[in-house]
Amino acid sequence: MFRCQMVNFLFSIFPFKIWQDFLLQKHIQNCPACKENLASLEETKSLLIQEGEVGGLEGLWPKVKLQLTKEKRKERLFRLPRWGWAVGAACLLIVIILGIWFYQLSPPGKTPEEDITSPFQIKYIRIYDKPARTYFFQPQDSNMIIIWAEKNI
Amino acid sequence: MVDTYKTKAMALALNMLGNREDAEDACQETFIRVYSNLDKFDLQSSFRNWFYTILSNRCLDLLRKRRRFFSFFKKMKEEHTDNTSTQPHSSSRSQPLAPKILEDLSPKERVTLCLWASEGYSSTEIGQVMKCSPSTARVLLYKARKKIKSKMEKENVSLSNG
Repeated sequence: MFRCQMVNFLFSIFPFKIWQDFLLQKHIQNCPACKENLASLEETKSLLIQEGEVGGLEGLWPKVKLQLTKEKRKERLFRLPRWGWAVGAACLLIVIILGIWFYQLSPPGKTPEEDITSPFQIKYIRIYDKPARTYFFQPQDSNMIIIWAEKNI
Repeated sequence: MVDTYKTKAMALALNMLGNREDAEDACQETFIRVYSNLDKFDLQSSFRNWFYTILSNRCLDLLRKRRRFFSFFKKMKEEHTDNTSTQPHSSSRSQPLAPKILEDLSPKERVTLCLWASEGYSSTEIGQVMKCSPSTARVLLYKARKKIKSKMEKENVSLSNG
């Protein structure tokens, strides 16, 4: 009796299936005292609804049939024929080829770098219609350029 | 197929779900699923087990849905205690057929018990149906049988006292 209580205690404190099954096979299944705490097959059967008590099920098959017919109809609506995939793939290929062709026909646009207005260039500086004396300064470690122009006397 | 399995399926669904409407829904959907997935059935395995797997999964889904619904309804009822007269829409659908003793069992325990008692399945077969190991099936069955026995004893005691 003490052993049974011990096993039941061990069964309840470690809820691991492997452990519980080990206890079941080692002790509970072979112990008459422990078996008494389990509902027998007859007792369980008496609680359950048996096949004979189910009653009329004439309405089941028509319902199943109706549902199956509906599903088949739906399937037929959405199912592509076997060659449907081939037609779809061919159409896609044609669209891709046409796209490439049109792209090649259109005049090449300027690249973003080309599109920028041409950089500012100084060929020479003139003051009062005469070339000026020009100095360029670029501070160390800087991209800034200072242009100093003087009237050429 | 429907003729062969309809009464067995219905009995199992009734025992698991406890009301006829849900059981009929479960059976109907099971037959439809079985029919539409016949090409996926492995001919080397047991058709009966495969059928019961689909049926028990459907019943477990329904039980989970019902639990979620009732817990939601309970929460709503607690929040709106004034409207005590309102009942959930599906209450009319939930006329318990299976004895109240089975209500204490978890859905998986119910499946295990029904397969064991009604179909005479062993723990290995139950494991195949429920997609679990035989040891898990054994433990579930043990717990279910123990719960039922203690409940029966309690009821007997209360009847003899009353």
